[in-house]
Order: sequence, then C-alpha cells, then structure tokens
Amino acid sequence: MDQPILAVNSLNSGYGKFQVVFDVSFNVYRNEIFVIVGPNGSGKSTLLKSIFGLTTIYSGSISYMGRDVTKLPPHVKARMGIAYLPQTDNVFSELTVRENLMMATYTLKESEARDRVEEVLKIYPVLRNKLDYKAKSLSGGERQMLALAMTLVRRPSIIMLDEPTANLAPVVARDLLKKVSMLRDEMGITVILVEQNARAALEMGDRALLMVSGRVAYEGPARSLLQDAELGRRYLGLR
Amino acid sequence: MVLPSPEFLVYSIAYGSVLALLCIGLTLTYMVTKVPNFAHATLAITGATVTLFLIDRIYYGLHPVRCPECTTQYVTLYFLAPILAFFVVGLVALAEYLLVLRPLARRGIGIIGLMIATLAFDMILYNVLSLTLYIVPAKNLSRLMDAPLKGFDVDVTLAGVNTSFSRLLLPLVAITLAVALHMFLTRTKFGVSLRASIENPDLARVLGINVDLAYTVSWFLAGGLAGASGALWAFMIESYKPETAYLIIVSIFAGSILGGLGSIYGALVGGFLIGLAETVGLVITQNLLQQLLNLLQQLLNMLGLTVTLTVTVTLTQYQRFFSLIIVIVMLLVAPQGLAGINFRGLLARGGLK
Repeated sequence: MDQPILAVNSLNSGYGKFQVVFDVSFNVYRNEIFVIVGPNGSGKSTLLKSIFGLTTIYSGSISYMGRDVTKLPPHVKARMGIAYLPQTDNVFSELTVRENLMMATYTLKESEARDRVEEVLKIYPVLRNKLDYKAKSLSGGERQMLALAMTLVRRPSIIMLDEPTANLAPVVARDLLKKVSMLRDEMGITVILVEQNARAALEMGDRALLMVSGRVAYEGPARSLLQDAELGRRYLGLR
Repeated sequence: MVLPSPEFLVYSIAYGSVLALLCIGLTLTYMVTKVPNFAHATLAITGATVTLFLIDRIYYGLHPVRCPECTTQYVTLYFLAPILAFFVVGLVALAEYLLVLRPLARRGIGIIGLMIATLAFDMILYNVLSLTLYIVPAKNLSRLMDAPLKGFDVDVTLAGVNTSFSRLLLPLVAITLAVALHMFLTRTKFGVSLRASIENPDLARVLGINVDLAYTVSWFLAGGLAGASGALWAFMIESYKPETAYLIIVSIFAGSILGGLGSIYGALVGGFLIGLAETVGLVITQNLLQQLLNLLQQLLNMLGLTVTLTVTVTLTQYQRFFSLIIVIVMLLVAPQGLAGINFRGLLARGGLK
C-alpha cells in the first residue's frame, strides 16, 4: 500500500484534563473516503478536532504527508492543505456570504482567491444570488453549502467533515452526500467523514473506523463493517 | 430657560465624542477577550499625559508665555498629540494584553481572575503616571495641573457661539476615527478576519487565520483610540489628575453597556448618548429644579410668606448619577443593549413603517 496521507499513532486527547480519545491509531490513504462511525459520545468529533489541533493532545502523534504535525497550530495545518468542516458553527453568521468566502481564501493571493471563488460558485450557484446576505439569514441547507464551499475553495488535499448532514432534510442530506462522493471522484480530494447516518456513509466509503467509548472497535473496509451484523446492531443501529 | 446654552451644548457634544471613542475601545477589547478592561480609562489619561508632556517639552519651549498670536503653532498640537498618543497608548494596551492577559488566559485563569488582573494593571499604570509627573519641572507642573491645559486651547467663535478649537475638533476626530474603523472592519481583508476571529475563533483558525495576531491588533487599536481621545480630552479637563480615570471609567462602562457590549456601532451611540445625558441632562435637571423652586417661592409669596429659594448645590458631582440610572433601566428593559433592540420591528409594530 502507498504511504498514508495522514497517519495517527496512539493518540490520546481530550479537553483540558477530560480525556475523550484513548490510544487511537489509523492511516488514511490518498483519494479515499475514510468513514468514522460510532454511537453518540464515542469521541468521533473530538478525534477530528484533535487531528486539527483544537483539543489537548496528551500523547501520540499525527503525521501528514510524512511530516509530524502533532504540535502545529490549526492555522498552519490549514495552510498545509488540511481542511476541517465543523459540525456546527461552520460559517460566520454575522458576515455576508461574500465575506465568508473571503475568509475561506484568506491565505491566498487576491487574484487566485477571486478565481477560486468563481469556481465554487459554479458548483453552488444558489450562493451567487446571496453574496451580500448575512450567513445567518440562509436556510440550513444553504448554510451547509456555504460551509462546504468555504472548505473547497482552498483546494485542500484532505478534508475532514464532521456530520455534514446533521439537522438537514433527508433530500438535502442525500444531495450533500453525493457532493461528498464528487470530492473524491472529480476533485481527487481525500475525505474523512464522520457521519451519524452510518448506512449511507459506509455505502459510499472505502474504509471505516468504528469508535466506541473513545477507542477503536474496528478498522477496515467500509463494506465489511456494513455487513458485520453484530457490530452494526450493537453500535450503529443497523439491522 | 430649561435648555443649556449653545456653548454648553458644544461642550456636551465634545464630551460625548470622547466617551464614544472610549466605549468603542472598551467594547472591542471586551469582544476579543470577554473581559471588561478596568484600565481603559487610565489608558485615556495616558493619552492626556502625552499632550501634557508635549506642552511641557516642546510648546513651553516655543512659547514660555501664552501668546494669542501664536495660534498656528498651537494648532499643530491638536494633530501631533492625538497621533503620538494613538501609538504610545496603543503600545501600552498591547503590553497589557501580551504581558498580562494572554499569559494568564493561556494558564486557564477565568474571567474573574482576568478582571482583577486588569484592575492590577490599572493601578500599576496609575502609579507610573503619577510618578512620571515628577519629571515635569515644578514651575510647569503647577501651571499644567492647576491652570488647565485649555490655557493652550485656541478660542474660536462660530456662528456667535464662543468655544474652543479642541471642542470643535473632537466630534470631527470621533467621526473620522469611527468611519476609519468601520472601513477597516468591513472593507479590508484583515478587518473582516478580525470580525471573524471575534465571532468564532475556532472556525477562523480552521480557515488559516492567525487569531492571535487579530486579537493583538484589536488591543492595539483599542488602546490607540483611548490614547487619541484622551489626548484631546486633556483640553477639556478642569485640572489634570491621573485619578480622573476612576470617575470616567463609570461613564465608559455605562456607554458600553448601553451599546450592548457586543457591537462597536452600539458602543459609539451608547457612549455619545451617555456623554449627552451626563452634561445636558445635568443642566436641564438643575434648571428644572430652579424653576420648580421659583414656582414654590411664588406660591409662598402669594400666601404672604417672604422666602427666597435657590439651588445652592452644584450637581456636577452627581454627573455619573445619570449614566448609572440609564444603565440600570437598560439592564432591566433591554439587557442586550441598543444593538440588540429590533428597531425595525418596533417601528413596524407601532405602525410607523
């Protein structure tokens, strides 16, 4: 197998003194959709935050493209091509759509930023008509589109999505997951997807990680986890 | 006559402008660190001290005796003082943030601890300012402290109103700085990133924004605004004393709370209104009180009692009473401040729109 784009080794992390993630290790390879599933409170979101540098890391290491990034601050990781889309508060409500996109291209030169914004507006044309609207006035689906657009505009090598379909209508959620597949298939972006809808996520994913109580309960092909009746029934509510 | 004189109205507007700028600064630092900075008024007094030192070191040298024909030279002071004070006090505020608040916050100190830290910084700064005054030669010191700095102010008569140049300049400086700040926050990439960092620092970091740098610049700007307004305010202070800070801090907090503590534009309006309330409100109350006593006196005279009733108490010392009443009412009625009130909704409900 190739060298992993992202390698997490024996990671222990949490918030202050409250440990949430225990001894977690896994590799993510280029151009795959790596799905992280697990029951509520199993530490999926904290794991993504830890990778991005938003929690306290007690021990373990994270390397990106062979470089140790464990202690790098988030803004440096973002500049290296790692993108993270939080589950909530993933847009700036008080800024306009245009300003949100401007912030997403913060690290780019002006001309490059303009071209990239044009590109994502072609993918999400509904945002073009709302450029001067404050993000708080958008619908839930439009907000998620804006959040995804803000992530894509930076052309990251790897993108970490934390429950992007949460609180969305089923039709909108389905559409959004299709767009996630497009990221890999058409744009060659590696995706780490944390998703509550385990079946939908495992069906589209290449490999998967099952987390239970902050620990890894399974790591392997996504299809195999989907077909594992015991794990599916016990932890994912699948029948 | 219940209303104040035009001269006093000009003074009120100038005072409101100073407060507006100070409230903008306090609100900005509160939005960034979520800690009320009790040293903010002393930062303004530091700005006033810059004016004092400019006069002592440069302008006394140029004009040992006040000369009315030297107006042009005095005018340079109005521009030199606020610009110099902006940078000097900006750096002092930066020191407060970088050397005191940020290290404490990183060690997990809570809001109460940080608030006390701003009080400690305030006391240190106050003592430094008091000690600094000893550098001023004694003969100049008494002149600067007892004879107000407005001795250096240029008298101006505009539309029949006798006032001074500094009082006319202050509202203009306030408007210019507020507009400049608005342009910076809405038209520049760094300004928008500052608003983004204030609203959601984690998301800002996710996007590659250096949040620490944005916060540092906010503190510098807040200090700079305090310094510039303090430098011009020096001309309006009756006599220069570092402890004046302990009075005006009440007004600054009142204006910021009235504005909502979460909106720079709210702070601008809140500060200005508090300034007007403390000055115009005071005069109107005093005049109304006198008129009431006059009526009472006439009534008593009609009853055959000859008495003379006059307001002998100067209400100036109760100036902050008005701001504190406004704060209490505001917290009871609309705790989110002016910025949180849906004025359009109110107008629509009242059938005005």
